[in-house]
Amino acid sequence: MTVPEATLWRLRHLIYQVFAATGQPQEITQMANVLHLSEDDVLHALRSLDEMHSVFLTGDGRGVLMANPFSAVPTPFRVSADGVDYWANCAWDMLGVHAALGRDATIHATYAADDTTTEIQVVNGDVEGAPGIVHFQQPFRAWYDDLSHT
Amino acid sequence: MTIGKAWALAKVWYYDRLSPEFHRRTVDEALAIFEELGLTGPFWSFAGHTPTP
Repeated sequence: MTVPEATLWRLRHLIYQVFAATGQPQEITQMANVLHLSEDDVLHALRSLDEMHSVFLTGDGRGVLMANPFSAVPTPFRVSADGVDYWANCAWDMLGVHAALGRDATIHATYAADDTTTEIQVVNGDVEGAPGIVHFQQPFRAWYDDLSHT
Repeated sequence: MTIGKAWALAKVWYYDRLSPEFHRRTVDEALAIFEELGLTGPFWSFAGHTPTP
């Protein structure tokens, strides 16, 4: 089944709008209702977006796991902005959540090495209270081979 | 990299992510962003990429 490209981008935009508003993705049923599509159409569209690396699906293929920089599941990188909590996929994405939202944010991050936590404020476009570093595990050429391991 | 450098990269990488006009960056566009931020060298190169089967 081929999904019209316009439908793919409408769905992608919806996913991002809902992530930004709530910190979580919608269920397939909700996406179908909003876009006036069947659930099968949404599933096919999601799979196409996944193949394009526009979003990444859960293992069963029936939900959105990641829409970078947002994560649908808890991670060591929590971002709070305007009363909404978000999970970011990695240390870079915790900054990406703020960049995507364009709003002041507070980041609570946990260091992988020893489970200590740090708080980072992003205020008026400036990062404050951030003595750490961001470590990329994989070189750019491998980023999309296994994004969850990047 | 420092948080400051990661923030600079995040801003240019993600600022338009919520836009309905967003398009995924090409490899060349990504490389241009890296170069502008001084991220050069083999780690930031696409040379040697092998597509996942």
